[in-house]
Amino acid sequence: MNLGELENMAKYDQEVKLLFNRINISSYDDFVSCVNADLDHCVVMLQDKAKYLQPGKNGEDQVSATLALILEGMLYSVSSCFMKGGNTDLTIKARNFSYTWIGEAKLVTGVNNPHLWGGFEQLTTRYTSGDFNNGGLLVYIFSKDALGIMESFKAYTEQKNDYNFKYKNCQTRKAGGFYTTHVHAASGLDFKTRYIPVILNHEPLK
Amino acid sequence: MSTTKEQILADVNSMNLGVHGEIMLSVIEYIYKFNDVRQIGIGDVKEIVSNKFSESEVVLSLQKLCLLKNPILSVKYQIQIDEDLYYPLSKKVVNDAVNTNKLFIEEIGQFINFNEFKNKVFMYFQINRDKQ
Repeated sequence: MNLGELENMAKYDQEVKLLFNRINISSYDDFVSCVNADLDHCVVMLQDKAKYLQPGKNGEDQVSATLALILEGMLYSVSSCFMKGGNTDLTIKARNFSYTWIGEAKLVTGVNNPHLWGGFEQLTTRYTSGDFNNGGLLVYIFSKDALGIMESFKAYTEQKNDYNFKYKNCQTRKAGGFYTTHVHAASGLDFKTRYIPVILNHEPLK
Repeated sequence: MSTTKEQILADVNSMNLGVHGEIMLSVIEYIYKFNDVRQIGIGDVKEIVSNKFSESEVVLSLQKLCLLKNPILSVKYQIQIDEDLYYPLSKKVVNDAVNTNKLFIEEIGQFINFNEFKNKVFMYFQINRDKQ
């Protein structure tokens, strides 16, 4: 098969393109780029299933467990630790590489900046050494106005002067997705955090 | 430590891969049945699975066989320059070409326009079989 034919196939099956990128990984940056694209794909799938992922007794765990299943189907090795209170850490590894991306998941039902900030602190001070210098905060948003919730949190982080955050808007998660870069306390290296809104509000009027 | 067929089968069976898992298991059985085969293509796999699955399902399954804990396949690329002349291309060169539209051909030391030549760049899968 030539790459022109593969490109045509990928127009109808996005997974072909995503896996093409995966099998060509030759660096950690390539891996992070693939994780980001694959997470975008997973978030769309999760949002399509929002009706079935509404928070119940184990609502947030259900979202993370579903996300882990989708990622495993894409040949990632995923380990997760579920804890009460809407906290989940999600470790994503390539099955045949030692590269790692760690995510922290937080559930919100409205603006809750301290809760999300706690997630950022857990991610950057508890779960990562900064050696693999990329991670993310998955924000499971069950209320309306995901954009407003994310913008409020971004403004909250802008008050954390000690971190000297550098910001970049996310081009794919339009409802307030963004990136920050700061110096990781443990490693002294730049650490890039991705903030990913997952829109799970489901309140049909009819 | 060499990887055994059983370890590879166990890895595939540990995941819920649906149709792809079925195709992958058929390919692994084929690889260990025909020890002389060194590479495998999409047409081969379509025959192995009796054309029961679409081409994209076959491609996805081959790609996934490259991503196992012990990948039994490795993707390889080559560009056809002439009827009988092929140059190998590394994954990095292909990746860069997809992202920048500039394909570097080491043998001639030049960049060419990837879009114009993408139909001349072929992908195939090399078998990583343990010595038995």
